Amino acid sequence: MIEFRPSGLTEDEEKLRTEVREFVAEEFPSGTYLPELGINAAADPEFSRRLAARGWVGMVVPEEYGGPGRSATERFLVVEELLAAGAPVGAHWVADRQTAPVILSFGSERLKREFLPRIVAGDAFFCLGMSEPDSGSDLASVRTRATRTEGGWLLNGRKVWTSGAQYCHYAMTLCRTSPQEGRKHVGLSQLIVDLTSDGLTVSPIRLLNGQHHFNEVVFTDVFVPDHMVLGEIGSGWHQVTSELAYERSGPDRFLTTFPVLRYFLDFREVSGPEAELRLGALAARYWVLRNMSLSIARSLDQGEVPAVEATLVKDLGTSFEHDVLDLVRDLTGGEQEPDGDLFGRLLAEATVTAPTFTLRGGTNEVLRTVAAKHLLREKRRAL
Amino acid sequence: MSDELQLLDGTLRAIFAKHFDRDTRAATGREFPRDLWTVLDKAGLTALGDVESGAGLAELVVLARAVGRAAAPVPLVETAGLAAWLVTGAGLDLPPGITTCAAAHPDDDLTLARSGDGWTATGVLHRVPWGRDSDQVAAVATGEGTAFAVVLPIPDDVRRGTNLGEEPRDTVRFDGVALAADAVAPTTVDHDALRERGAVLRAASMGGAMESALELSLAYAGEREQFGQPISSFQAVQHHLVAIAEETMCTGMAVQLAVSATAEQAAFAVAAAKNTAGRAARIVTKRAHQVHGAIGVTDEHALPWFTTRLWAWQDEFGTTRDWAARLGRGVLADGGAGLWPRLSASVGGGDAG
Ligand SMILES: Cc1cc2nc3c(=O)[nH]c(=O)nc-3n(C[C@H](O)[C@H](O)[C@H](O)COP(=O)(O)OP(=O)(O)OC[C@H]3O[C@@H](n4cnc5c(N)ncnc54)[C@H](O)[C@@H]3O)c2cc1C
Repeated sequence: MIEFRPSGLTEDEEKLRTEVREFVAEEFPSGTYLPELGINAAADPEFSRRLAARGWVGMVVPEEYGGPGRSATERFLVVEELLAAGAPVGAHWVADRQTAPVILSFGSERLKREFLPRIVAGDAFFCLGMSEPDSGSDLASVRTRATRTEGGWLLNGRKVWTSGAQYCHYAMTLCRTSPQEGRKHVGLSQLIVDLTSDGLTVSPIRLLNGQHHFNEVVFTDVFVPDHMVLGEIGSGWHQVTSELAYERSGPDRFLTTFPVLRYFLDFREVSGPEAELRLGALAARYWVLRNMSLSIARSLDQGEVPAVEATLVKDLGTSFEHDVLDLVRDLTGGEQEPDGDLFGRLLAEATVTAPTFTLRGGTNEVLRTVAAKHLLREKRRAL
Repeated sequence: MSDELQLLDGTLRAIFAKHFDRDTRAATGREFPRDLWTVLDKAGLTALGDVESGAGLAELVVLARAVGRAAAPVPLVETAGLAAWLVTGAGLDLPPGITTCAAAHPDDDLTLARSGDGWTATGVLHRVPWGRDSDQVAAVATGEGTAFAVVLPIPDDVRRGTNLGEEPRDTVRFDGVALAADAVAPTTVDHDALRERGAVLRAASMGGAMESALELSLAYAGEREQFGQPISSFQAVQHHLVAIAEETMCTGMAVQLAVSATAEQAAFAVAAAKNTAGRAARIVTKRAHQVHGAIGVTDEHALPWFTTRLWAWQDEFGTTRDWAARLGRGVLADGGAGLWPRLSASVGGGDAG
């Protein structure tokens, strides 16, 4: 049976949190700005660098690579404050959440020295080149391929839904480096691709509300030098799946719509028995989800890989993000006004971008299937 | 879990497995399983909540969870978790025999009046767990404007009732029952405090019952075949299993948070635990039955031991809705600025991991 352990905070962690809270209170006084919605957040490289100056980007990078060497738990405490306030975390998000830890785990010494200090400084932003037109949930079927050339690889293919490729510097790109024979999970590799390379184009794909969030990225004979291979050639699948505990369990998987609730309580009259009942149940769920997510960060710090726990928390958390919106809509009543006040605009944006919550980073259907297989396997083992 | 808690859990599991297996349960039928009680009593478990013993809420949550996991039809939670705690906390001794505890029912009304050196007790306690099988009942009574812990002998003429899980829930009346001075002591535990403690322990039992419903569902899905394959190969069934696991985990976490909560958080954490368990119970019962098909709704099958209790326990020590309303009043009082600090407040225990 999977068991989550509640976790208190140390004095140092509480101190860090107080610092972050003060910073956030100063940068984002309620009602003076339109909050961002989780990882759909806009990019604000200036903001990312202000955070970096405080030591809050790439926090898990150890000192020898220019980082503060802090824990996954400390990073959790920083990012949850930012997400709860709806901060524009888009620019450094992937580099901070995912790229820094995977370079630490799998990268060569050269990659670590070259990239980690820049991630920490807020000077190197990464996006994820995984999905393709014909490869979504079935990620291992990617067709983008790299072939051997003098001193490196020649990359050809097409990625879609690449969030932030329009402002990022690099794309962590999953591609095939040997032809598929038999199992499709074999022969995949991860390359770090410079987005200014010759032969590479980035074109916007507009979200349903016209926002430019993600892109199509096309590679035509893009040269990628050998040292930009992450880890081993052929180990791409193993590496990508081990990222998932970082990608799936964080506060970004249940806090996306928190700013909507916050503005609702701040800027609307809320009272009465229905509000009490529904807000009460909502508060209980936030409390439980947050503590489960925090307990996963603690496990990561203890060297565990809580992949299934992370999967379940992502499924619960992203579904819950929808529940929050349903509740706020019901209690708000009336027609939505996308051009209304800040709260109205925020609720409207959240409503139309809500479908993304349960798609990105692995759809909830696929997450549940992965989790079920694990549970059934464990049960068979125990019998 | 710490080593000590693990040991306690192991002891409880072993007792229920050995002394209340399927055959014993079938043979006992609707009779009170006195042999099981004797074993629990001899092992010192029925007095676990005695404040002198050093066992706190963490231990009692382990006990309540084990009771739920075994669907054991005994008032162990009431005796060890509530009566022992209430009575010894007020400086009284826990008498021998079975001492159940009042269920903090909203209609309970028990008053004390002075009479000579002692007291007399008058009033009604509703839906007292295993009232008919117990020797006495511990309760909170009011006398002269203060709260007292009392232990009252159970009269012969209880009005019998049950809950959906067929557990006795009896109404007990007292009409000027004389009590010696040493059967009554002032207490800091009022009706609400008793209800809160009961709510956490019921939520823990519910988590235990959900664990068993999950185990049964996983096992059955792996073994039952239709269309030439185990039903666990169907995605719709897999998703039921995952939803059951998720809600079971949420309940376990919510209960542990109530154990770890600081004094300032306790009221919120308790309400969140019972509300979470109640909502989870609805999902778990529905989906576990769906996985089991018709066999699951027969009295031959073990699943109803757990699901009927989950249906009953949702409403005991405050309904899911009662606790939601209480949480909601807190949210509205805190306002937008207070919500995040409340939700993210650190529980006790350092980086207790
Ligand atoms: C806002 C947003 C940002 C994104 N950013 C990035 C990014 O930066 N980089 C990147 O690489 N990708 C990105 N993605 C892509 C994302 O990872 C994919 O959308 C996701 O993996 C699903 O793939 P798909 O959209 O092709 O849907 P499909 O895989 O075609 O799925 C369609 C439907 O079929 C269901 N389905 C598919 N397979 C199964 C199965 N085996 N069992 C049950 N149901 C199944 C799915 O659950 C879904 O409901 C982003 C997506 C969104 C919405």
